[in-house]
Amino acid sequence: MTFLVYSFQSVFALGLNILIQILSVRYIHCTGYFKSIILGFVTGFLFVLLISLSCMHPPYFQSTADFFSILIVDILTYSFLSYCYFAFINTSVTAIRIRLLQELDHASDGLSFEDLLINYNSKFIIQMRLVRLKHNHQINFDGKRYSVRLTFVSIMALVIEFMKFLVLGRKMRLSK
Amino acid sequence: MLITCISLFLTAFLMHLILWRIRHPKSPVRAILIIFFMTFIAGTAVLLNNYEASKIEWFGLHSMWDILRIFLLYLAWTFTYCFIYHGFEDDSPSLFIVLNIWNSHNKGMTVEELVDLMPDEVFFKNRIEYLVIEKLAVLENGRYSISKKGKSILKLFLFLIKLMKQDSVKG
Repeated sequence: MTFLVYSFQSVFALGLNILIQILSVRYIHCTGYFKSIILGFVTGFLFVLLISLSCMHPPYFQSTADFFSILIVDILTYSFLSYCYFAFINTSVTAIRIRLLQELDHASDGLSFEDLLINYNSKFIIQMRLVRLKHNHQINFDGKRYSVRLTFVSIMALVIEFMKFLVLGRKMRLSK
Repeated sequence: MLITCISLFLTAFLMHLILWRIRHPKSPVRAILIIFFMTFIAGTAVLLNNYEASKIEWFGLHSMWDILRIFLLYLAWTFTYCFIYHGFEDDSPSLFIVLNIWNSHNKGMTVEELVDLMPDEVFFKNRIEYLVIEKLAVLENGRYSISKKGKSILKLFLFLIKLMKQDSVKG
């Protein structure tokens, strides 16, 4: 194994992640879309671990501290790359902008802003997203009212709200 | 190695924060990419300069391969930040819903209450304007239509939807 493969292992792991994700979503029937993403990520993660462990000898191995330092860097790189891939493919499925482009593509004479809202509006989006959030156990529903608990999405909502305040200087919309 | 990358990223992030307070750019993602890559080039030049003089042992850099690793991590981190940044600029419906339900505390919210809080302009006005700015759509006489560039982008995403065995763009 060359230094090149060892140094680029996070990129190779991403390639493996993409390959496994696509194969599993297309050819393994019991694997849904989200399960295929997890399966792809875990496979790539194991690949990084395997390559790193197989390089625990000179000339790759300098010291234990260096080994762990490189391992952390490679795992972080792989995780960031995987997030980018996930965000990219998820855009095609959920992005409002892509849906708007599709609506415009279907209309040969173009659409006014009001025309756009006939088929695709806030009410439609809210209903769609509530179903998805409930299905993924991110919110609770008692038959009439929705409530939220501390989950990945609620933590993300709070973090993004703080980042909006930090980066864009927008007021935080959190009630006490 | 990790410290080097974190230092570079934080320097770029700080510059990005300062610049945004002075003036918000028209194409923010492009501006972020320029700031982050300029910082990386400047940072790497400083590192390489000191590398010759062996002054950076404590940074954990032993060879050019380590600098390549830092570059990969920095690149991946920057792209991740660009994706996340899109979430700051526009309100994500899912996060908007969760935030509003969170603010209702134990009371919870009904669908109707959520719809009242979210006028159509919140989600659509900015996004359709973005499509026009990025030349993916054209606005003529008050009507929006898809551009050639928009058609190509849409084709790519429709191919991805097919590849992922999804039914359609759900929104």
